[in-house]
Amino acid sequence: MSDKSDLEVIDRVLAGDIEAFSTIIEKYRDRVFRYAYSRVYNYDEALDITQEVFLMAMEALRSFRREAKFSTWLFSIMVNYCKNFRKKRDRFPSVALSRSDGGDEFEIPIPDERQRPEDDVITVDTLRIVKEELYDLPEDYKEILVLRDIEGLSYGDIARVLGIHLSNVKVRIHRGRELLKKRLAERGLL
Amino acid sequence: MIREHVRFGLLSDLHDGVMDAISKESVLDHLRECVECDREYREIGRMLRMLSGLRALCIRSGDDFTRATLSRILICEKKRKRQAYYKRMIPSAVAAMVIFLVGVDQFRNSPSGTKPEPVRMSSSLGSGDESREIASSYDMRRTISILKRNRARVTMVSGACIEAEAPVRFVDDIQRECEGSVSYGMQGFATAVGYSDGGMQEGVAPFPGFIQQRSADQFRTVRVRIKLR
Repeated sequence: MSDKSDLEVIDRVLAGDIEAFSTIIEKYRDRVFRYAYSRVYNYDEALDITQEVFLMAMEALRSFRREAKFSTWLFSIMVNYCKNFRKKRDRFPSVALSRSDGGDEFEIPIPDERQRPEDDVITVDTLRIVKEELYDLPEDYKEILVLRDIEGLSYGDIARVLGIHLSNVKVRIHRGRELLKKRLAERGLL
Repeated sequence: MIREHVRFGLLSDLHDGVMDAISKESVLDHLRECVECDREYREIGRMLRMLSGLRALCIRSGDDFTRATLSRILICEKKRKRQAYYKRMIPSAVAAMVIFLVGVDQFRNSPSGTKPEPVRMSSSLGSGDESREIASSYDMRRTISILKRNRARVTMVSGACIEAEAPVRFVDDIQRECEGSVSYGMQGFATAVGYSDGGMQEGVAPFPGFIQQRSADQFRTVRVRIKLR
């Protein structure tokens, strides 16, 4: 579904067809969830955050000015909500924050091994290690790699979502990838 | 062609396709010659493919997330609409209330307005047309006791005033007592303060019930309205 069809759905929702919002939820739920999960490393909390993000988006839908893509706008809400969630949780640290603190080990639901081009076989175990190393990166690098390399946002969209300069986006992507590559090499994946 | 090893950032940019055509061409030329940089480039590619594999991470299908979220949204929307309605209605309701209260106040204060009469106790027999307004220096309890002492019959009590029917001969005493110009000594005699009545010794007066007879028609009653302190 393109951004144009997103706008059509939004028009329907604003006209009173609230149920049409389910199309938006279906389309973006996993992307929002993945980002949230990378921030909290807990399935249930990530699910709650995802739901809250959609609730907030629905509430603020009338303020969406259509200057940026809907996905960018939604991701901005998502990033800000996660930031606030983390702050709130840091203030009351009753739940484990990182995997070293006992965060849950949510299995990546891949039914079988994936055959990739260039004869790369990416197994579930490989993905688990990649996930561990990615989530273990400093927050700035982790979130930018999630947005770029998993969610496929453009540099410009990332700059808008995170509210930082384009050159800053580039630098963080370079440094994040370099650090992750080094760590994956240490784990014998590269 | 670039002679030294290509920086990581350039290889990363090459993967993302965010290089201008000239730089891209020279980096690709270098990669064809330099085994190390080519290996680095391939490793970055492999890492990016592994990262994209994490797209498989998604919400469990059994969670019925979309329906649950939509129900919550519908509930919130209903709540929001209700709040918006109240937000719209509250100023109108307040305005209507203010207008009503101002109107009632105007009506009550207007000369033609009929004030609602307070509930009265049984009216007395023989009430005359005479009435007197007295300002009491005391509270309700003490004022009522003054009235009772002076054979007055309380007909209406409100927070601001007391109405009573008193024998005409006691009205002056009631007024004096209520205004605080008489105090009582231990023997039950009233001492007039700065008050002199004909035939009485100045400064000393009998108990109010027996002060004096002022007129012949002593059974006539007068309506007394006492404003409380």
